[in-house]
Amino acid sequence: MALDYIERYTYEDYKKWEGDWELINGIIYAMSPFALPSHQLVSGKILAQLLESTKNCPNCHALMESEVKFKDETVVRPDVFIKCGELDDIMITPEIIFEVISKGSIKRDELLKFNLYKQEGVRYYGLVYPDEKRAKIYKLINGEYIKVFDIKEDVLKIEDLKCPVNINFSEVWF
Amino acid sequence: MALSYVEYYTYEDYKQWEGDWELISGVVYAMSPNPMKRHQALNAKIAAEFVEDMSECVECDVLIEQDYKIDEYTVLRPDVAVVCNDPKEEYIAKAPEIVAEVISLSTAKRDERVKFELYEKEGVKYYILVYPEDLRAKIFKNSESGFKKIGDFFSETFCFDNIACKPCIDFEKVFRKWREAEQKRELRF
Repeated sequence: MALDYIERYTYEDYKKWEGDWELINGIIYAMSPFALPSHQLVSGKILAQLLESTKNCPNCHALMESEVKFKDETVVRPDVFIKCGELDDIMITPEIIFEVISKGSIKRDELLKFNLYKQEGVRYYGLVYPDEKRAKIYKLINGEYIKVFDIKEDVLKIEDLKCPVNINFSEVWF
Repeated sequence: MALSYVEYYTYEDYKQWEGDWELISGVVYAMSPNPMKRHQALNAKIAAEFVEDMSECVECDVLIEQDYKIDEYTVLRPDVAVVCNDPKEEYIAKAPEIVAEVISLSTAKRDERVKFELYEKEGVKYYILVYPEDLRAKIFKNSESGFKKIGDFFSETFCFDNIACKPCIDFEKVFRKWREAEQKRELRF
């Protein structure tokens, strides 16, 4: 039946599409068209602090919803992240990624992307829950993500990155 | 493994998307982003054949690439659809009498298999598959036991007798332009 029929797409296809999409292992995912204003604000505030952090790292860039191409069949647009190297090189693996969780994206961020980023060697992955004013930070250790911080109002300090980051979460929540 | 996690979307999601998509059992499929001229031109020719015969037809509309919502998780965009007695304005809610799909390489499987089954199940009376490369059309008629192929059409005329306003398609006219171009090319050698 139609359910068994899967079409797999590639970056070539992805480039031609209108609208906001992600592609994971050739399968299409729609980006949530209406992130709550409060979620966008939280995203923006994290970005603002990452931009501060990257001021001391000339080769590193803090970006929002920019394309990251892991493979020909996998292109995602993480909410906020830092990558180091050529700005236009979308195949560079980010150093740290934050995904702001909304109701519709929980499974995608907590499961699918969790496993994807782990596989692709993203050193730190932060899951941000704006409604609970809480962030869980995972560090890649021996190929597994281990939760290293569970933050509410504290300052997140990560030194062992190409660009060390400093985020005061009490200033992030709305 | 979690990497094969699929998200299911509904008509509510579909309505908000930019770009051209189909939704089948909650899964998103991309429509060909830049269809070939011949594909689009054949679309227009087939629609024109129907419009010519049905311009005075009150009960039926000839629709091009209109959303056909089968259920909350399935929305198709047939190339050409002849729809009769469907009061819904926003999308096609009632199974079209006739659907025509012009096949492109990237959509062949989808049109010949998945959509074939869906149209058959939903009671579409006639399904026309048009092959731009071969300048040929296959017509299927629905029956108790599903779609039965009526024939291959190259330059014949076919009339849909049991459809309101009884439209006909003259395939000679539909394919003429490209056939003539081909013949001209062959004559040169």
